[in-house]
Amino acid sequence: MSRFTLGIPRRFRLVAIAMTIAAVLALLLVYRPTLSPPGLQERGFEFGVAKGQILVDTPISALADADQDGLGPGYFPLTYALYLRTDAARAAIARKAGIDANAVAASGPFTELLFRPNIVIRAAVRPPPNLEDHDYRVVLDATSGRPVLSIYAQAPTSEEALTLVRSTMQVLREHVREEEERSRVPATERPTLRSLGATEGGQVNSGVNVELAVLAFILFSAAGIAFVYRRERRLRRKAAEPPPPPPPPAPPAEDDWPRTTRLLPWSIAGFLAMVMLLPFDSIKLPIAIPMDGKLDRPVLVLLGTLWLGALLAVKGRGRPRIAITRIHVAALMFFALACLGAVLNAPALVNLDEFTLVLKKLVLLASYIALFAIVASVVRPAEAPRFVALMIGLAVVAAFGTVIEYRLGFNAFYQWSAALLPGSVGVPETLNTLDSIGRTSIYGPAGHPVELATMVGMVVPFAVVGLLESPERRKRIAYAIAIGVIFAGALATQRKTSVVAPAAGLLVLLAYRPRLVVRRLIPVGLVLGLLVGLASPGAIQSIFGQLSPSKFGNVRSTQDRTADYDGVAPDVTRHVLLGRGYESYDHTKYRILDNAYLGLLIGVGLVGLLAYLAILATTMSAAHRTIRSGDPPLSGTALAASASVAVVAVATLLFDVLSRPHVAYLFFFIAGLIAAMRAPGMRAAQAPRPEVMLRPAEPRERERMLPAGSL
Amino acid sequence: MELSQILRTLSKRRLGLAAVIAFSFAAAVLMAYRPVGMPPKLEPRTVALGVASKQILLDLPRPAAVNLRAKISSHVGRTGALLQVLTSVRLERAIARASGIPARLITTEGPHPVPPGVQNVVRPSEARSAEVLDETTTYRLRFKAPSTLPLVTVRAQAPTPAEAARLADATYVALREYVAGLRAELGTDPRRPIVLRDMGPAIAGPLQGGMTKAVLVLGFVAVLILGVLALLTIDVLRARLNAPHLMRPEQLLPDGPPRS
Repeated sequence: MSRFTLGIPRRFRLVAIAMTIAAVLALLLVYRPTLSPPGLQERGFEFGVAKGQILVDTPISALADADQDGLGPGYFPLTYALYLRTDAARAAIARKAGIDANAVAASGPFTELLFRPNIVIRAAVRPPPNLEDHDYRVVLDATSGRPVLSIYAQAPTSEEALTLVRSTMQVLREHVREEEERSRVPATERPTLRSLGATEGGQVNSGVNVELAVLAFILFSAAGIAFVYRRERRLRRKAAEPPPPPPPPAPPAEDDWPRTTRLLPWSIAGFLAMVMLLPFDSIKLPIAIPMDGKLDRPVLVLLGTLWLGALLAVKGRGRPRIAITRIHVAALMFFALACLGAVLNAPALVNLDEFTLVLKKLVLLASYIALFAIVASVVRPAEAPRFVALMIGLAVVAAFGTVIEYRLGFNAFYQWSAALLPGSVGVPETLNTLDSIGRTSIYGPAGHPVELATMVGMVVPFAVVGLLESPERRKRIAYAIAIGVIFAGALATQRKTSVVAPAAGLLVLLAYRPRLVVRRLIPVGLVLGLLVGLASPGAIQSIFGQLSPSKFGNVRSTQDRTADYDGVAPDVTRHVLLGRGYESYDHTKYRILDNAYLGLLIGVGLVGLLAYLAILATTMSAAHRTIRSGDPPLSGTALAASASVAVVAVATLLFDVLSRPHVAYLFFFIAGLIAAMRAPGMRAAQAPRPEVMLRPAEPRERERMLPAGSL
Repeated sequence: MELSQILRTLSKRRLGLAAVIAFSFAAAVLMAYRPVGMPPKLEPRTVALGVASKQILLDLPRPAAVNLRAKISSHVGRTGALLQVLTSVRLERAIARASGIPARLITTEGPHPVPPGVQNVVRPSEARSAEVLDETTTYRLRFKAPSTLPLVTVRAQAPTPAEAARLADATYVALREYVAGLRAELGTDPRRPIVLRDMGPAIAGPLQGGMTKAVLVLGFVAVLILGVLALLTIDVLRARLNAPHLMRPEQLLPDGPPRS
């Protein structure tokens, strides 16, 4: 056997096999194997684009002749655009370009003439193949009353795209000439098609195949190496002694929050109150703060200063204990990749005047991670359930205020902030107005109704777990009331998110505690549904109306989400690995995405998106270990926190979570609680020191003795 | 992994840490600067920006401002058409000739149906691709016009304010030449020309710095974080694989007194 293995250890051979498989898979990702002739055909990730313009003018150009009052009929370019969309024209274009007619799609115009209703009625007949399914695409554009017809083409190569545009122009010219001859229009009354210069184009994403192949190779290799690593550990574990027992649960400390004089937990509680009750991102302070800073920034700086002071000056149990968990690693990696993507695309971002925006967003991201690190290092495991109780209380207040706003049109959060706090409060222009599908815009303390719905929705799992696991009837009733008020507040926003996002959290609870959820939650849910209906009348019907099968896919906001997938392809594939710059895809400038995963894919690329997913995954995985630990108060808190992370994961599908600070801060606060409950240092600090060392070791080896699960 | 362990690991891997810091610095410098020439000099990758703007009025031979009988309302529609023509390849090349800036470095955009900054047109992939191709183009022109006046506003962006002004002024020259060329080609009535009135030289100013320092700092921080995380992760994975409870009995050291 050793003759075949050349004496190479088995684990290295396995790594080599894994990397070979990774290389094959990476190749298959970007190349399609063909049998006749045998070979590899490139998959269509790369594409080129070309653009040409035609001026539809009068025989004596109106641009040069002052005697002409107008520029001829302004609808000519539109007429031509509509003609070029027809099947006959499409076939003619394909013939001229030497392409199969079925491979060519034509569409447009898009600038201002397409009808965009809020509710789209689906045709009963089977629709034609989607535009984005074609390799060769032509888009015609014309602005009402303007004499220029723009022709865009997309094809696997820029040369083919150029050919497509030229063919389109040729087909149009021939069609116009034929029509003129057939109808015998006098020469002076014929429109004249003037060229506006050469057709230009280029390859949009050259090299994307190689980038994807390299990324796939790295990911598959990493997965293979991880597999070999785990296998090696398993083998060693079988042959070794049983692992040392985990440290015993922390005994209750006398100075745990809230019965403490430690400033840091109180400051964190204050920050949490600010996040959940104040429209802090709309408050403009009377002092200038760099990077578009709002109220959260000075408060966080104060919190950070206290934290740093405690780290340097305080000894013993009051000192923040920094323990790096997997969540820290994922968050730091995400931040680093976001910085890297912005730096690598800095010339373009500066050129487009978007680099400052990216810097502001990076500072905001750093603020989230700073809050997470502070919470994870300050909060003790025993304090986590108490912070959860505070969070539920604050959510109840926020939801109650929201219901008041829904019923009376009075937003206490903005009004009272303006009256009590220094600086000015920017009240949203759309506050309490109707949106395009007739929903009242209810803001509560947040910056957007969807943000409010998600923020209170994130707290629902905590209240539900309280209801499920409380042994006392009195507490269960209190939690049931809290759930009712929170749900009433969420539903008052009349957003689909208020139902869809918490539903994801409840599914996580159902997965972990199926019997309890069925036995206790369903009866309570029925009663609460009735009460919520009374508190926010009409809201439930409005949301379930939006969620009904006949409307769900046809509402504009839902359709726009799916329309985004093709529209962002150039931005995604141009910078496929690290993106064009974190949060640089400004919705006011380009397109409202309504899906933060897409935004992240554009902003931080595939690698950055994976890092973001790693934050969610590591947070849930860390919570999972605490849930399975069986430590009653902590496992319940971790379960609710995990469900809350699921709410954020679903909300990320629905809107840009990271640009909404209420939701993002709350998410990183909850992630901090999970890390605080997991961090081995936190638990070891409170646990009595083991009496007996399991084994002696040399100093060098002692350094390697790290607690399992510390990274 | 606790802070003390992190510091201990990093102090143990001093060489690796030094390499990470050196690599981070080198990477950050290369991300912020481009080495050019021999001996190589560092040239910032991000350019400072200058902006300029100017106006062009479509007028009559006898200026509308001093002629009570002048009717320039028919020029309003013409202005919209000219805005579109200004974004064409033909005019781009004419502007390049007039300004002495290579045509491949110039891009044009507009006219927008609503003020720029208000997103209302969802561009399909094909149209967006054309914009994406021009993202790194450093000389940029944007045109707009009010809906009721025959006035074209040109906004130019270039690496320096002087170049931006040159670009904006060249737009007027190119447009005038285009219209004159059309008139000559079509033989329009020379007594009733369309007058393109230059409303004065372009006003220019700086927009922002080159952001080189910010790029340098961000690049350094990013690579440093990734490098340090890699160091720590490798160390932790090795330690976990060799953790005492995973070792075979023969690998364990002989028993001894516990250390404090």
